Amino acid sequence: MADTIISSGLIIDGNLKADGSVRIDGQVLGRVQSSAAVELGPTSSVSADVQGQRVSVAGTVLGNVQASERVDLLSGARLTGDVRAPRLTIADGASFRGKVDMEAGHD
Amino acid sequence: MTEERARMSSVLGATGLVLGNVQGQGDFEVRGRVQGDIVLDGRVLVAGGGLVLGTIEAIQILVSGTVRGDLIAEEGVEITGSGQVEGNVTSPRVAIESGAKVRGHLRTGDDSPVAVRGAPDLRPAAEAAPIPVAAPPVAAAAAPVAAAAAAVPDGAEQRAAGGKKRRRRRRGGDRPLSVDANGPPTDAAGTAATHVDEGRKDTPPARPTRPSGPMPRAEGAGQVPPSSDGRPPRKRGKALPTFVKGARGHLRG
Repeated sequence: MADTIISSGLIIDGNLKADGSVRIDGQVLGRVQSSAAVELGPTSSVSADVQGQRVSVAGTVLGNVQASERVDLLSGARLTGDVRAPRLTIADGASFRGKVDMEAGHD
Repeated sequence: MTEERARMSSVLGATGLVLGNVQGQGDFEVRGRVQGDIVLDGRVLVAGGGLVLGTIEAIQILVSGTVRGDLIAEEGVEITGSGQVEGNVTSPRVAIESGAKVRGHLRTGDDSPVAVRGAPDLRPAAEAAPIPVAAPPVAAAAAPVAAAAAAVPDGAEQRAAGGKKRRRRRRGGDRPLSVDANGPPTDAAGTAATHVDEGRKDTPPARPTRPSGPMPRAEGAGQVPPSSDGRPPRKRGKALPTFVKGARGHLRG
């Protein structure tokens, strides 16, 4: 269970930052930053950059996604923005519009 | 607690930081830090170690951590022994546990702005049948308020009048009133107690008697003479000059 959970119905009008894992099912109208795993659930919506160690996206992201380990775009994900991570998976049914940078060494 | 946490649908971890406002529905537990307002249709728990710098508006608020901002709850606010609140608390029900630190105004009961919304629905229903019965208590409740309100200007007038009377009476040379002249310090203390109307009524009579220390002595001197013939005149002569000189000296200075 994630340290920080933003459940559906909750709206954060600002930035969210944490050292622990983050699970978001609600809405964040700002950046999400974590040094651990970031899980964006099917009902989630983030309208700014997302940064984490591992980022899995099942919801909607309007911004760049950056991970030091990997990014997973799950089915149902809608990402409009660039992905920057050494590993990237895009599941069937995921929507993605943006550039990918998998070059190692960044960050 | 497991059930409690299951209900606490949203959690901000101990390392979590929110820069901005939080709103929406559901329960929200803050173990980390929120720099912004929280407006929630649900319960907000500021856990021990949690910090909120902003206003919290929710149905229920439980504070075990620190809040610097106002608390407005539709149902209730609870501040545990480890809780710290710097801000105004408004809620129909407020519970503050021993050890809690609260700095701000507390507004509880039905007259709180939050509760007013629901109040008209409840009161008419209860008073609809016994209108005549319900009316008296309202009037009775209003009466003391009016009396208290009236007492404030009266007290102020009495002070102002008292100041004038003192001067007149001093000129007249009445001792009991010159005793009042020693009153100014009591007035200063009386102004400090402006918030307590009834207390103010009580204090003025009580304090004049204390400063009237000189008077009891004078009376005592008068009573003493019958017991011993030679001493009374000496005491009068000694006592009066010292007080008069001291009093006049202060007044003139």
